[in-house]
Formats: sequence, C-alpha cells, structure tokens
Amino acid sequence: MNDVPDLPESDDELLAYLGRVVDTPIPPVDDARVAAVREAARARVSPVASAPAQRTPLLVAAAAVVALVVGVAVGSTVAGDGDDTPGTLEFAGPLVGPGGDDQGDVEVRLTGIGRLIDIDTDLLPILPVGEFYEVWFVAPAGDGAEPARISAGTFHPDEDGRSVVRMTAAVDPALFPLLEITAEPDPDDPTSSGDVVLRAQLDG
Amino acid sequence: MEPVGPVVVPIARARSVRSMTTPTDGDLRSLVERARDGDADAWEAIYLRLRPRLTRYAVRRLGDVTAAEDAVSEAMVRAISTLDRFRWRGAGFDAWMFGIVRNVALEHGRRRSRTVHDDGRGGRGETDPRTQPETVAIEAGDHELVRLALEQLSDLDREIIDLRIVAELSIDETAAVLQKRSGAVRMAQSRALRRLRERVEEVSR
Repeated sequence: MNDVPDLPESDDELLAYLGRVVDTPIPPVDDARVAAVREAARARVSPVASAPAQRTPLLVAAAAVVALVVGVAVGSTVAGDGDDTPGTLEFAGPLVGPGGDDQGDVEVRLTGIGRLIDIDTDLLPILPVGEFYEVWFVAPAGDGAEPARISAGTFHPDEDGRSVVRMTAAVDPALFPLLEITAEPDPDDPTSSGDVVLRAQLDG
Repeated sequence: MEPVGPVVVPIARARSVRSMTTPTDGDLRSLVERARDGDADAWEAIYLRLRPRLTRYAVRRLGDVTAAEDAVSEAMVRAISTLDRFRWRGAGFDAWMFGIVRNVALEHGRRRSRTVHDDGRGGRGETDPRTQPETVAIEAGDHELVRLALEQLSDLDREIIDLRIVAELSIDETAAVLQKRSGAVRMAQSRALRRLRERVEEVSR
C-alpha cells in the first residue's frame, strides 16, 4: 500500500501540478509534414498550379484532403456543429433549482428526428426504488389554465449521483419554451407530480 | 521493498512552450491574417507554433504518437481550407484549431474502434499491464499514482483535464472546443478534479 499523495488543495494548484506530472513526449518536427502544410497552403491559393514530377505520399494525401475537405466542411455544417453530437445547437444554458441557483446544464439540438436534449447534473438526489425523474417541455397557458406538457422521458441518477442524460423529443421549444424536471413518486401515474426540481427557460 | 524516492520532474517543460513561442497575441493575429492570403510561411509558422500542444493533446486522445501526428496534419489541412470561416470573436484561434483537431481525433478514434484487433487488444490501456492497479501500485511513486488515477477517469473527465493542462487552454477556450458554456466547463472541471482526488485515494490503497 502506498501513502496517499498529498495533492494541492485548490483546483488551480492541482491543475498546475498535473501539468508537471502528465508527461506526453512527442518526436521532433518532421520536415515532410511541414512541407505538406506549405503545399496545402499553396494548393489552396493556386489550385491549378503545375504539379511536380514526384510527390511524397504525404503531399499527395494533403492535396487530396484539400480537395475533399470543402465538401467535408459543408457536410459537417449540416450534420453537426463541430463536436461529435449530431444536430444544430439551439440552446445551451443552466438548469436552475427552486432557489434560482445553477445546478446543472442542458443543451437542446435540432436534428432530423426532433430535438436532442442533453442534461448534465450531479446534484439530483438518488430517489427511492420505483421513483424517478421526468423531463417535460411546457407551454405557457394563460388565464390560470393548466399548461400543456410533453414528456421527453424519464431517468434516474447513477450510483455516483450523476445524471448525464440524452433524450429525444418531437417538440418545438418555440412552442414549449420551458423545460422542467420533476420528481415522480408514482410510476403508474403518467401525469406530472408538479414537484419541479430543476428547470430551464429555453427562450431566455 | 525499497522506498520510492522523490520523482524529479522538469519544471521547464511544455507548459512554458505557449509563452515561449507566442510572444504576443498580435503576432498570432498577424500570422492568421497572412495565412488568409495563402501565405505558406505564415501557415508553417502557425503549424510550428501550435504543433507541440496540438500533438500532445492528440496523443492523449488517440494513445498513439503516429496517429496523433497524422491527426494534426489532417487538422492543419482542414484549417487551411476553412480559415475563411474563422472569426476573431469568441475564444480565439487556438480554440478553433483545437476544435478541428478534436473532431479529427474523434473520427480517427471511431475508425480505429471499428477495426478488429486480432490480438484482442482493446482501447486505451485496457489490457496494458502497466496500468493495472496491482502492478503499478507496488512500486508507484506519487506521480505514477496520480497518472494511473487520471487514466481511470471517464473519457469526458480526462478530456477536460487534458484540454486544460496539455492543450493549455483557458476555461473559455475549453468551452469553445467542447461547445459548452464556460460555467458548465468550470463545473465539469471541478467534478473531474474531485473524482481524480477520490481515484488517487483509491489507487493508493
């Protein structure tokens, strides 16, 4: 057994410590790769420039990627907005608790099959067996009427208390601009308990 | 068992590369504007300036130096082709480049995960005896324990830490790369570091 390392107390100091501890050696600069970058830059500016009699495989690959990447860039705009999550980001903001404090994050993306909702919080208590949390899209209602609700699904935190959840819902946030997470004690009751634990205003 | 002595870790290492090779933001802005005009010298300078951090980050993502260099090369070519889409508002050029490298690394990782390894090897360090707690803990110094604990974090936790300490990005830059709010990244970083502390304690037992 080893003594537990004495780690710095603050996060900033711990990051600085990790920067010294994590060693990731890399080889020296490869001249062929530098040449490929230069060639790609020149090819971008002068796409009809005459080709040399011989090219290294890396330069050939670079030229081919330049020719293809425009299509890839356009495709990525349609398929996604830069990370590995599909869809176009429509909303990214906090999930707030009853007291108005930030307790998590929610992102809503538009995809071909509806909205993709990503929820991330580790502040929801683990519920008793049989109980769960439910995500709702809520439309404002006037004159004291009950607001319309569409459920996006249910979840419960993992054993570490983390709730990193992805759901889909065929809902337009423009019409249902409020997202609520409720605690649901009764699995046999499809209606909302009204016990809102987190919410996000999607049109804020 | 012989007691493990202190591990001497060089202080002047990659963490200072960014300040050493990037004296001012004005120099980078000038390089990028020249690069917009297709200046090959400017692109070479940009590549040499960013290569150490980009490559180290890609190594952390892909676990292989050659694959990481290939990913960075491909990212440079994409950047050359799409620089007209870059704007100086927001988190800046470094974050934009790391976003491209991240996407390329994700694509490379997905391609590799679809390849069947005849020897049954899995992902990062899954069957590497060097990362098995029983093996490492026997002779581990503090730094080795911390490195082991870091490798046992979730992919997202590790990525946030890597973007902060290997890529040397700020919270705002990291948020831009991950396409999250800065507050969300701050929270996620805090959670990741808390889990790292817990994991360090576990692997020390």
